[in-house]
Amino acid sequence: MIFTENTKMADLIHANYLLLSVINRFGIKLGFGEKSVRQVCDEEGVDTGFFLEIANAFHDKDYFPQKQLQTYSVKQIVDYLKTTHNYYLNEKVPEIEELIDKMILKQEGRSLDLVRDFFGQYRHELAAHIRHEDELVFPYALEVEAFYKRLRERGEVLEVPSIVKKFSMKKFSKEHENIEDKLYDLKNILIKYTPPVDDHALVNHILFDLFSLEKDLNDHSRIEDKIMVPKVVEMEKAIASVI
Amino acid sequence: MSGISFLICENSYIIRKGLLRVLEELGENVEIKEVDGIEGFRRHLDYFEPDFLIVNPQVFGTENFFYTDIPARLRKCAIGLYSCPDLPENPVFPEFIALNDTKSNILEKIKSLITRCKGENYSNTGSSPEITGREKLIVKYVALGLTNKEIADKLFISSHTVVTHRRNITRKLGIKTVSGLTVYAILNNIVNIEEINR
Repeated sequence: MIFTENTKMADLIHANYLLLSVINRFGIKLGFGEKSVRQVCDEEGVDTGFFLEIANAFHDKDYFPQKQLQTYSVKQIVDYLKTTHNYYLNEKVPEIEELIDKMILKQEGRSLDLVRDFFGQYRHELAAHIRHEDELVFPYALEVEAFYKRLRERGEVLEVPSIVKKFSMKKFSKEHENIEDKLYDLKNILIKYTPPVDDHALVNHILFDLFSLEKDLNDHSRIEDKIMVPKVVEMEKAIASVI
Repeated sequence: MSGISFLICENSYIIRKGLLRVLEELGENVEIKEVDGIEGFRRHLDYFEPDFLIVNPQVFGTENFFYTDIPARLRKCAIGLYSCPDLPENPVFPEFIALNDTKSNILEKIKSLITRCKGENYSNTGSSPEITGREKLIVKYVALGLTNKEIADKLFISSHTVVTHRRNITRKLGIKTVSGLTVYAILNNIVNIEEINR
């Protein structure tokens, strides 16, 4: 199903409960009664078009952003992606870490320490990846947009900022992979190779969280690939054709 | 080590989805992206580098699209998607799928192309049996921090063979990273922690 501005906000969550975290990231709280997406967005001061693009891209793997609808800015995308990064690093990952610690308290044995160390390594990798995007990729994307705008407004050739000269979105996209490998490994280690833990509910909870983090991360990178990357690539092309 | 990736270029939604369903049979390590026209096709090739293409020639609408639109690197790994069972007069694609092919038929063709391009046998990925003694030994060396080259020298085999072994290990265990394999090796007493810290 493709969501439109007239879809009831509540129906988004019924269609895909993982959208709850997306809605939260826009600062929208529950309790919206029968209001439509447009009504809720207007009340909360959220750009409806942009919200719908994110919700649709997140929900439907095959959703392709419509060019004519791309009225939002790179800044908006970057803000959203940064909020998401913050959610992973400061909420979701610590939550899983806490659960693993809880499991270790309940069950002695060095094998669980290995699991914790392994997840710790994953956290470091994820943090480094996020830092790379926050400190290099996003500033680059914003700079491209700013330069593109100046170019269009003035219509004359300007000095190209060095960061725009030095990088390209394509270069970044190549580095943008394999971050989920450790997460994938961890699931199999817990499912197949860790000695049985007595507290099923706790292990299940950890596994559910790992699966949903993995899914969320995949949906997140799809938003980067489908919404941010093409937009910046398009601007890079326009810039290259002028300078 | 990563799996294999496909880019499907086909304008019919139903056909794309059907194909996707079939490709899923290849296993977990398959990444598939799909586009519905030339514009999306070009845009994707700007930042996604698929190992294989499955394209409907009609989408391109020109005679020599194979040479103008498909990057040279991918021409050996491209599959033509035809709506009629008759192949074109001058087949440019190394492999073809027709709409009325059966599921097993399509999978066979794709696997045989993968085998030809990647030099690996993809026909027996269905079951994933236990790892062999040889593979266990390789897991041990990986856990101890040896490079593929060092493992090759130790076992008197080529680096290429080590890579193949490692790919098989990953497929069987569902573990991709070196540190994941290290945890596996310790948990299964293939190595002990003291050896690793040494």
